[in-house]
Amino acid sequence: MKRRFPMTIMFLFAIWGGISVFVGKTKVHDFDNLLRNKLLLIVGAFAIILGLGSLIFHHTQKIKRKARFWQYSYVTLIALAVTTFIGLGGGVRGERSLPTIFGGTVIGAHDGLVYVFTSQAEKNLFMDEPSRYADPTKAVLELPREFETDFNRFEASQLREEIHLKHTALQLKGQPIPPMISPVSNQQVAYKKEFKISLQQLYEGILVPCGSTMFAMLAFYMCSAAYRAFRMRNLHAGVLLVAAFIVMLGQIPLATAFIPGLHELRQWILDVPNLASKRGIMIGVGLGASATSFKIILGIERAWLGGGE
Amino acid sequence: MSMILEAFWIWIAALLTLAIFSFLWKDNVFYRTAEHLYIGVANGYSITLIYYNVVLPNMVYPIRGANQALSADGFSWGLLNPFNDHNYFIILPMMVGALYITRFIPSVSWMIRIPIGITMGYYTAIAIPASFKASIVRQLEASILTRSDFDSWSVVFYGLLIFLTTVATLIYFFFSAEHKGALKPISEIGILTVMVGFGASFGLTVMARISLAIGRFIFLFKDWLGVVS
Amino acid sequence: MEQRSVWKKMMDVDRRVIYLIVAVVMIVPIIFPFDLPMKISKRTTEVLFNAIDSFPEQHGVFLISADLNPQDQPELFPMLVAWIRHCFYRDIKVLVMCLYPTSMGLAEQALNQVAMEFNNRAADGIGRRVVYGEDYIFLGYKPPPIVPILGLGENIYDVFPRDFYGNELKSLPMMTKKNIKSYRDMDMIGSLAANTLPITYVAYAQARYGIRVTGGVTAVSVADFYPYLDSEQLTGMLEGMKGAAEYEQLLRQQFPEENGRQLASEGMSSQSSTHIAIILMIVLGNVCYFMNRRYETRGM
Repeated sequence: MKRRFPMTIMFLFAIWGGISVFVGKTKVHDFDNLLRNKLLLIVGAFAIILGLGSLIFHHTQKIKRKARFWQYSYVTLIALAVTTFIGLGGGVRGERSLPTIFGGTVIGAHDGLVYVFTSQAEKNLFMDEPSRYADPTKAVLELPREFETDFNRFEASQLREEIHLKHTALQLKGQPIPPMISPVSNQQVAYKKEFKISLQQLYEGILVPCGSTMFAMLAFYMCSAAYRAFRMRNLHAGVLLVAAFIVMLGQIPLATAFIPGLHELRQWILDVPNLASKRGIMIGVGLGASATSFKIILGIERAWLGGGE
Repeated sequence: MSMILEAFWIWIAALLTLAIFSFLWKDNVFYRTAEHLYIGVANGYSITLIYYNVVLPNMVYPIRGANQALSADGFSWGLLNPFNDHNYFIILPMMVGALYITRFIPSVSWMIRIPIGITMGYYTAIAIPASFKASIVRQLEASILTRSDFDSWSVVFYGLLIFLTTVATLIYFFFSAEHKGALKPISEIGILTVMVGFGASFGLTVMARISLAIGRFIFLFKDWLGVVS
Repeated sequence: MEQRSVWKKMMDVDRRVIYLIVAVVMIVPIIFPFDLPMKISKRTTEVLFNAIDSFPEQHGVFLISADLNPQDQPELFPMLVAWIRHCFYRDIKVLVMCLYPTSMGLAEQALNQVAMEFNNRAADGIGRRVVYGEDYIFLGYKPPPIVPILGLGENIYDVFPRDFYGNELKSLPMMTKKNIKSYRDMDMIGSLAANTLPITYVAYAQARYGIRVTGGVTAVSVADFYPYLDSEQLTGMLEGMKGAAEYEQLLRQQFPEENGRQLASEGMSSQSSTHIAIILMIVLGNVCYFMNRRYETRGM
């Protein structure tokens, strides 16, 4: 039961998947779309809980056991909690409710008019039923046509910059400023200094530098390894080394600008021998992968069931 | 974003970059802090986006909508129809998905095999014809010379060369027969071809790794220190 | 004996000395760059550039699957920026989506950056304004990859009922004016990824729905994509930072008003110097190894 039942289910879904590839526009096709786009998506989404649970479990255990470097587990857990809090509370761009926006101005738009609110709650009320709460006399400015669709992606300060930019451009050209962007009184749209932490800022300020620097270190390791271990011990290693040198030199402007034909030679290596070797390997791997897939579906390969009964 | 805030985040990014680079000297407290911070933030970021992009539109909204419809119009069979935007049917896949959590309960942990089996069975089955066509059939087709190829001799020559060296590569990896007699020189050509291919991959990998380090240095010297305009 | 120890010593030099040399070789050309023209790769960059250049103006639709993670940023981000710029110059409509959550930040950053470049220029009276919803749309993220890859072949509104910002997709003018429903209404898919996702697009989207696919890939996997280039399953591709720099150069040649930051070209001087340094290091490492071995065998 504990092994056969999951294997049977797996087999049935595999049969369904196989059929779905070959049917035309029928009810089967429609249900397959539903299965893939909605139902399996929901099933798969729960896997994140598994990953998250394992991460939290690992670090709490580390702290509990006072394992080596356990103090750092606090950093991970706190960072996880704070990021999730900012993300769920503040939204990706800090557009959701407090408390991740401090002193920011909240703006909303309806029917081509822009309103400024004192709190996010006030804005939420307005956005839920704009026609009821919209009062044209309270609007601070008329929305330029191009912002109508654009509005949701603009933050308050961006919107102001855009209007200011357009304003200045027209002034410089000595053209009259059309009414749609002129009634911006500085008082009304005096945006307070914003201090806002959004998920996007955490992404650009923490995720991007950390992630890319970790991989950037590989450049140094690779240089060190190339110096110590890349030896021309036999013909095969020699061929590899020569091909590598040509490809490397053929891709830098400092070499291709001065050595005629180098760029073309690199291209030839990639186009002919490289292509043949990769195609050979690919066909082999493709056949192997297809065979393994069949073995899984037919229940011959059972590693996915894991250990236990 | 105000300028001050922008500068603040650039400083954070720069300090984290330096903290991680410091590992090149030796393992230290700054590196480990940045590393653990990264893991926490990366997971928090993913959770949030999965919540907004998967959980809300596919689970919360349909059920909320169904609840509203139920309280407004009473029960109808349409509420159980998975093709409707708002329905209760999706509770079934949610229950199946929830079986992932059994992983943490030893007595019923085998049940995790059910959601794994469903996703694996379906996706493996649709992958077989797709990868077979893209990686085998089309590649074999492309290796074959057609009449139009004979318009240019260089195309014919390189086409033949590619075909023969591809066969040689396949023979080199064919271990069911011992590589002796006629197979020996062919498999030797095969391994030489493979070595050129690996050489090309190495050369390109060098560029890839250097690019990543250059990216960080450009950030440090241009965006942070502003040494270069 | 004395000389032998020199070769041995050189072989066993502290790794940090090597790191330092590499860092210096990399940093100096960033501060003092030299401007050398790139040779354009005909089989990869040029094919792709010409393909995008031949989309019907105002009617072309380019779907970019921006699946770059922070660690791929130096290679793939400049490609994304260059593609968006090319489309905006030619008035080709751009749809951007992500298959990984960690790609969304960079995708949004690229769209905002290029839109701002164009709008700033437009304010100075050069070129045209680009407007969200009319010229470009950010669809957001939908997992797992196979769902949007197959789903967009059937009906885009099933997969992305709303865009990233929560607007109803059907309400955006670009979608209704161009009547975009599935791959049939798009000219090409551009897959930016550090793995084999472009091949996944070839295997599923192209095989089932016949749409052209191109790739912007990290240099690590470039060599593996050549068979697909040869079989014309991929319509050109961009090879790592070099490919991005070539594309930037083609853009500058074709559109003289191009004045945005050239992220990939900025790094090419440093690429040149570091490549040469690595070649010299490998040669030196081999010389040390063989000299040391010669002395050792003689000594015995």
